[in-house]
Amino acid sequence: MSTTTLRPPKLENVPRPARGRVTKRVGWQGFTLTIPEDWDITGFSGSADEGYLRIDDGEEQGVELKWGTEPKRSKKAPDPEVRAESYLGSIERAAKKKRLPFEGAVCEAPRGVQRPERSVVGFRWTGDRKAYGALWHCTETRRTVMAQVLGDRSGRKGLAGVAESVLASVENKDKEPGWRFWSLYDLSVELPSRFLLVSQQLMNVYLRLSLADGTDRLSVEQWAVANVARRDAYLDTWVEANAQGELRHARYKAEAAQVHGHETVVMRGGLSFGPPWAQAVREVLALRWPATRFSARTWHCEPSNKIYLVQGLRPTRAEDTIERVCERLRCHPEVAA
Amino acid sequence: MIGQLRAMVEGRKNRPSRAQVLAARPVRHPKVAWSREPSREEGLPDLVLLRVPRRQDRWGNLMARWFKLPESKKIELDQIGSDVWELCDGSYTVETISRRISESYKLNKRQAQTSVTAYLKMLADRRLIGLTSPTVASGGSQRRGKQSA
Repeated sequence: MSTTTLRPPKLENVPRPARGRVTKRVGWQGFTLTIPEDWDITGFSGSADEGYLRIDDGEEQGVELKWGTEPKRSKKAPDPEVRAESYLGSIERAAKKKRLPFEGAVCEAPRGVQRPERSVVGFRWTGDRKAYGALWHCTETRRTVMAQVLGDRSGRKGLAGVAESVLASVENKDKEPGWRFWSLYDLSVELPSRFLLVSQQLMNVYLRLSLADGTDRLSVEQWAVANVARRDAYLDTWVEANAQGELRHARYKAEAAQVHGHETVVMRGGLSFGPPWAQAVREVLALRWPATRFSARTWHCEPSNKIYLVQGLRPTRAEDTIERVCERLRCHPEVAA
Repeated sequence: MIGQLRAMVEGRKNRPSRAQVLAARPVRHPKVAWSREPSREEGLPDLVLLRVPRRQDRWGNLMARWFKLPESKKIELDQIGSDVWELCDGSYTVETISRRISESYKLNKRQAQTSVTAYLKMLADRRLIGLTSPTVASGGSQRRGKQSA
């Protein structure tokens, strides 16, 4: 690959991030990063072990993350420099096919990206777009991560500065052990990290994240435009009619409580008769503890005009985490992160 | 130009970009009469009621006489739809309408844009509104852009 050199870039020429720009923190599959406020998650795939995440402003700037996890038995750690060169080579080949000019270089990573547990290299390329990136291997999580901030070919809108601050903010491990930060549009919540994402639903005014750890299941749902959707209906009646997941397979007793100062309906119970019990029997036959205990909390957050439902179905022996999840759900900006 | 010709030859639609869609200005069909009227359901604010006139050509008149059709069809919009409809006077861009809806219903900006553009597309498909593009409006011609209505 003729265009790849190992000369470090002149870091003094890289502009600093624009001061005073409003940012927000997002989290996905164990990654957290700080991005400009008008950026949102627009694409994702894969799992915590291997996957892809794209966040952008819908116009020209955005960040892409790709990651993979080395198996425990692999003795030799991957070389980020070789991976970066290989990645640049693949983009160059694609650019040549399209007869586009291409320039790419592996270079020293920005200082903000460097951490003691990471072996890291930086790279940048200019083709149909311009990108600043970093590729590292984290010895703690065994993850190999490629992060790049893309923008217009000219590098306008302070692309280099934005890239430096966004790349420096990328963390590939949970901030608090045992809790993982997830966010999707206006939904920001910390969930126990033992749960893995099983499914999700993104609709214009409805979001759902469903996670599982064996037979222990947990889901968080959010409805926007709550004042129009719910009107004067009782909250538990409305939620029962609209919720997905475990609530439809449960019978429960409701009582009142408070979450973040909001009137909350707490639901506790077990499986309803019929198919849910058949599922429990199947779990027993598969030598797993069946999930038979149901608990949920739902509330209408008026400051954000949203209805939240956190629900879980767990084996009798498992810990009920719903209350703690609700405490860690940031339903409106005044709730401490 | 070549792109448009190729699109025409290949028989596919020349889809506008996201930026073009957000810069477009929705305009209500001049023949569609509308007013804010009390909702039939209790507790709801006044909603927009559209009166869409039926076809007035020979075929339309014949069918109307045959099936005893009314002179106009009534359509009641929902609460958010009513707010969007009121803003479709040609002075607001799709982006501005999305921002207003996002602010008044505390909806995420991206979610509001998706919802509003989908709703406007539905109105345009039913020929209740048209969209004027800034390129046409700023050109010499005073013609309304792609007026679907």
